[in-house]
Amino acid sequence: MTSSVKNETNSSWWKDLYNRFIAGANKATLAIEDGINALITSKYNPLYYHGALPQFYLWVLFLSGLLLFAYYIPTIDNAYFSQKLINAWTSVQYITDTLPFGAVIRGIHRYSGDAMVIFIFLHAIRVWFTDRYRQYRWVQWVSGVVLLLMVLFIGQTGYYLVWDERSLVLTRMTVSAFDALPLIGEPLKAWFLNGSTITNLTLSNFLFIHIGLSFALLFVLWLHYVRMTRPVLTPPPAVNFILVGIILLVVYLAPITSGRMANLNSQPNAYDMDWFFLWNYWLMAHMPLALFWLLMIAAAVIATVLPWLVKNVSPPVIPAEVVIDKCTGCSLCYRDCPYQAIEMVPAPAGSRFKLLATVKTARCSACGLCVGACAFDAIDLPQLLDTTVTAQIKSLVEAK
Amino acid sequence: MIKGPKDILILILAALTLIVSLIFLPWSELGFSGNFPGWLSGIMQHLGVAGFVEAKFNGLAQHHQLMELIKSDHAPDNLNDYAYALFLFLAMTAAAIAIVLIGKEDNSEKTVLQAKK
Amino acid sequence: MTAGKTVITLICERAADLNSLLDQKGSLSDLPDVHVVKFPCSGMIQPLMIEAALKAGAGGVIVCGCQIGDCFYREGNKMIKERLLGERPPGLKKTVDRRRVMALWLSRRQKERFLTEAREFVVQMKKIDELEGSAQPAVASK
Repeated sequence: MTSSVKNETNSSWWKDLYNRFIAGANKATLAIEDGINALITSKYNPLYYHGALPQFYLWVLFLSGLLLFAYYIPTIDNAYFSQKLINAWTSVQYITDTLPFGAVIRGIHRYSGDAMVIFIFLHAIRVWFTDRYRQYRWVQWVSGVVLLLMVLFIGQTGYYLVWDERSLVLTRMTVSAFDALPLIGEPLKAWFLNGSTITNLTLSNFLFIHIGLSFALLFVLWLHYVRMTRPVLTPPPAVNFILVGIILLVVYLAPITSGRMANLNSQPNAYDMDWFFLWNYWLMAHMPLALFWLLMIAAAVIATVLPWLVKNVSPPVIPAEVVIDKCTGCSLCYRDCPYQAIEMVPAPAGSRFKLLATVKTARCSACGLCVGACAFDAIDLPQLLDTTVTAQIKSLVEAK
Repeated sequence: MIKGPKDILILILAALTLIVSLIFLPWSELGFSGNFPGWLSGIMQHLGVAGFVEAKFNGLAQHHQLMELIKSDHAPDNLNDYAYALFLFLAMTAAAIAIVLIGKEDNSEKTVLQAKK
Repeated sequence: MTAGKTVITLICERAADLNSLLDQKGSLSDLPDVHVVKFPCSGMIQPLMIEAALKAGAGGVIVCGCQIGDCFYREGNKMIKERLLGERPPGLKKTVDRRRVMALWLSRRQKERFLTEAREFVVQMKKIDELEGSAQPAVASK
């Protein structure tokens, strides 16, 4: 008896701490949002569009990336340092120095990528602090982790494409990192380099990964949105103006230049850090690679399983139930459900109605919007019947 | 129409957006001078404003503080592009603030139903 | 001085946190005529419930959800708002006196704002009662 009580106290001190942390973080988030609402009202509060903000930057990246792609040449040739040298580095220089507005488009592309990472983290943090990532929302969270990992890797390949000395250092560091992996290390290296050494094939592979993975994002985004009805994909135009404006200001304040052209015969070892995309290279440089991989994999796994690590914070969801006898198949509950948790199925033969509603219990959040939508009392939350509530309301009024 | 300080602010922001868009954006694209393309020069001469506008545009370049601000840390080759980006930021931000001021629903926290008659 | 009619508040659990303002009977300590009924989400509120309250003789109904844009269940407050405004079925019957229904969209911290609005609402409902005679039901009978 005593030992079980002790175990409970021991194991729950950290749960307590975690819950207190989340409660505090939630309160702080609310306070900030209340402040913003007081200034510009909830209609324009960017924190209420925290998912749409990185989505918007993705469109900016696609557009600016398309423009850059039109002039980018994915080769590494620098055997001849002649004026007619045409390779990745010189094509990027051409875009930056010669093409009208090229430098700005390059800047927009780079800084939108950085901004997207910032806003993805803010999005993830808000969703975590306000407890909107667990139970029926697990698909959104897990696909979000996958999206983040993809975005981080896509950003890194962007840095390889410039093919300056930084790109060479990063490429070599990546190859060493893959080397440190048992079993899958060699195939990964061969895939990454598109061969056994750095050649033109390598750079065109980087371009393929950069563009291909970016389009693959759209598929994972579909998974990210599929369990939500009417997902909020775009912030209001005024917010979009500000989002683009910030990028333009940063482009003006911090113009982008390339380092020296990469030379395979040289061994550069220093580069400018971009803390949004290249932080893992800093880690690689400051710890044994085995430890680096352990940390990365552990972080990814913990992030992925976070929805199941945190339990018992809120009561389990008791899903809604359709009262088949009363359902007329009007589809209002199906339309209103925010989580795609109601499906209209053909009514059995002999029924007066064509369709009947049915609840997909794994997706149900027990919010009751379906109950609010139903004019026929044909769907209920078992632990809170609307007839009970209506009776309670009546008795409160009639008690006077 | 103009009911208070908010409306005056909206007008100022609208004017700022227009001034930046119609004057500073083309000015930076033209290399901070009045070197209009032939077709535009022709139209302006026809309207009789060519000399006036050119002088104003060239005059802007004489404002040393403004030019120093624009030139800081930027390669001379595409200075006009970076300046364009800066002015576009100003125009978009002014427009966005004006839109928010116009569109913000001061009663977003309360809904009162229209009494039908 | 007519005894105040009951005002029913239909509020969701994550909107303005009224717990510290309630007495044991579930009405506001400062405004004992105002009784509070809680829902997991304001989207669960059926217009039928509002009609039932008014038909039974309530002076008014306050609907309270979270800030528009911050519903914990994504769309609940927008749903009930549209239902009240007649933009989404099911809606309020035409016979309901719409002056007696008010909706608030407040975050968890805004309990003072709720109290202020509730106080004003109770006063307004009393005025309507006095002007039209409290014998008049809030839902026109057919």
